[in-house]
Amino acid sequence: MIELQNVSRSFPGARALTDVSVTFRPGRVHALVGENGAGKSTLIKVASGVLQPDSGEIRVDGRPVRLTPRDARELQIRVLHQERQVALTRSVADNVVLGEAPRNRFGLSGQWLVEREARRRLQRVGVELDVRAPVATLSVAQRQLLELARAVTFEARCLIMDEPTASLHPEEIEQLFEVVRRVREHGVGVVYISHHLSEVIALADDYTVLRDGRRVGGGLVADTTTDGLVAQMFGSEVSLRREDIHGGGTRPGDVAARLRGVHFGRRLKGVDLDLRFGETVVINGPVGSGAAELGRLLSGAARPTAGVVELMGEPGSTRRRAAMRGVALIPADRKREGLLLDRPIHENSELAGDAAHPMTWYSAARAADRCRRGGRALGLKAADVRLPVRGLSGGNQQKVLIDRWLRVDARVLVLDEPTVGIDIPSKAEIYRQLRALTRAGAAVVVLSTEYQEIRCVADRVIVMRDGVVAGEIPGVDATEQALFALGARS
Amino acid sequence: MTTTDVPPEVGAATPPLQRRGLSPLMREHLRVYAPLVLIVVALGVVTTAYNPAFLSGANIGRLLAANAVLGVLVVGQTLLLVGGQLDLSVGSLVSVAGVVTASFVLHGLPTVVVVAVCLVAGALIGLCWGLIVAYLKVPPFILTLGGLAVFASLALTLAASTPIPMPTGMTWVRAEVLGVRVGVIVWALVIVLGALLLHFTRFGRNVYAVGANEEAAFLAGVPTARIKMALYSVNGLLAGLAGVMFAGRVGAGDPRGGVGLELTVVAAAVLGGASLAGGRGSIVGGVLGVLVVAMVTDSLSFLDVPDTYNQLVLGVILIGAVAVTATSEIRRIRAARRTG
Repeated sequence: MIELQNVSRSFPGARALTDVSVTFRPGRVHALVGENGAGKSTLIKVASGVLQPDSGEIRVDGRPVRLTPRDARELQIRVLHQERQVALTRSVADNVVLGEAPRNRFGLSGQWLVEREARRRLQRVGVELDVRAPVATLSVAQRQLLELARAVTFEARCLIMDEPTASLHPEEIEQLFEVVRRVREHGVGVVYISHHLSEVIALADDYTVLRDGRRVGGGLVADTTTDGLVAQMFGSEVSLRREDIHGGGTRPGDVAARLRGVHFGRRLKGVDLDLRFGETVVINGPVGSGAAELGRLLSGAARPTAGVVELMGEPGSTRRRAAMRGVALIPADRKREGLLLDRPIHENSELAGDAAHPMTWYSAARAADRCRRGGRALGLKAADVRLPVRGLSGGNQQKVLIDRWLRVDARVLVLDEPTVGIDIPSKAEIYRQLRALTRAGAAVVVLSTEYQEIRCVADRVIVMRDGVVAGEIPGVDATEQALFALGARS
Repeated sequence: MTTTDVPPEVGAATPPLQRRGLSPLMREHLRVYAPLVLIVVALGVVTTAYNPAFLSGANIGRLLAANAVLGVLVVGQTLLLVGGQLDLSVGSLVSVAGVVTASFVLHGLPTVVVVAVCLVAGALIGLCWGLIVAYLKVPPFILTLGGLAVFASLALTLAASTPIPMPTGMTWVRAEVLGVRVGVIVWALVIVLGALLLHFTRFGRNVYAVGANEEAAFLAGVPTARIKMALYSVNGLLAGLAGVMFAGRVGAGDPRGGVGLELTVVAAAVLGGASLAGGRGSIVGGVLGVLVVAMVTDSLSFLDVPDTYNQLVLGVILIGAVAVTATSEIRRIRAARRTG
């Protein structure tokens, strides 16, 4: 049992936690909810010894302790981080046993031992991966499952999971839940952080709500509802319902992108697809279904191995050519593929414009002014647009990326998991923005596995399975069951 | 939860998106420049106190003229480093260009032709590096290390291992206009053009983008391959120019003239704030880096310190400067994470 009593922690210029008390009991799943910046991350850092509280006490099994990361490890407090922490060039096996390679009785570790142990751990969480494959060849979701296999031991006292489902498909989430339940039955206390309140309701026993660094609510999950949680998180209601966001469709116009008989290695096997101006098409499908690859093809970032991809009537565009013609791409991995983290916000929001017109004069002051105007229109929250984009929250970073393409009047937008790791009010804002763009005549493609997101934005949903289109559902009829039935049918 | 040093105010009005005063980026530049300026001034004061001849106009002119070659190369290298690239072959290219200049002058070719040949050849070699880096994905360090060896050997072969004297060739480099050596004027022009390109065109922003996050730049439509080829070409052109200037200054084509120069070039650029990881650096910083290198070498000789200590002092300054920037950088990123 881990208790935090009246814990406070501040940083220069900011108070991250104020007088928070919470108890994580063995054999129970404890959900930690709150919007970005509410203090969840700080709280788990304190509980795992990464940060020391300014005041207050941490007790493990009733004894007060002063935790360091090393102590936390020895006390079997495990953290499954939101940021992927894997060694890309090493094999799956090496990563699974990272830092605790098994040793034989001579104290030596060998490849065979490592692989056997890795297989055992992967099996325990029900994940099938080739232990010899380099991690670089895995998808984001597969990497996450790998990290789960690393973190989960039944001997753990406490397993802290920070947004574990951020990039998983429903089936994989169910798989993850199974693992969590099994871990719980072994008497492990699980701390579960998620933006998906439906997951909290489905999985957790206890919950604690944080707002502005304070505990504003908590209790038994059985006694609350999703709406109740949302109300506690924001103090008022924020809606993520189709009726409040979608706002109806317009009549779709000309064809923006046309795919005919498209193959992409073994990932896509003969896909036909028309995307029109004035509609939002959601492409839904788990990792390996070909959904992500479709996004790349639709934006010119990849070329089909067979078949034709026509973007605005032009076949075979390169990424640059497509970008110049107004095809926006907003990747799922914002930090690695979207942002220049250490460059100013205004440079990030003008990157597409700079790329399109390299042979023109540049003035940093004027660029900052333009960014300020664009940022106001999008509700960007930043102290200064000349600061590095790294310091912004996920939601604000995503707004910068959207602004980047609005600045060059992008007419076709391809967004891969646009709201991963983003707080709920920002999600609602981004959905409204996408709907407004669609009504204004843009063609929007959203690659999404998040049911709520699909409900809010879709005019049409295309479900992918094993590299082919499994079926299409109109946005209004896209219930969770309908999507699941279509995707899972074989 | 917005930025590093602003507390997240509860229920605050929409933030202003811009505060008064210098931009944070400019402040970062100044943090890099300040210690360099300090070193230059301190060395100037100490050395002048010891030997007043140091601060004379003649000596300053000589100092600048002696480092114009280095200065031209650092502008090119800074452009490359900001774009996440590197060219170690510049030392050998200077040797080759010097040898070619001297032998062409001895064959009686007009100055304009010789300069043009060196510039174009340099640019073409740079373009080759760019093509190989962009399309064959050979790491720049390995590629240009190989190039360094190849052209060092070529320079020695062309000159039959001995310097080629050309007492009457390329004298314009040593000539003076309004009391300033032409070599220094060329350096100044290169600085201005380099700064315009990197800091006042959107091409420059693309260079920073490629250096900061190549994948993100590519997906945003930046022509990353073309940017790299342009950078290597410009750098090759400047190396050709530096070779001509070097031959003109010493009045000979020395096949060993550029040996080790590439390391001084990279050191000066890094002193000036350029990062080997890319996405960071400025032309002004590179110029200050050159001035520090020049001042250290020169004032040590004025202070009667044996010149065997030159490299030691420069090495210590380089390590110190980079360590200071690196630690402040780590602190900054930690602060940004904490509030995030």
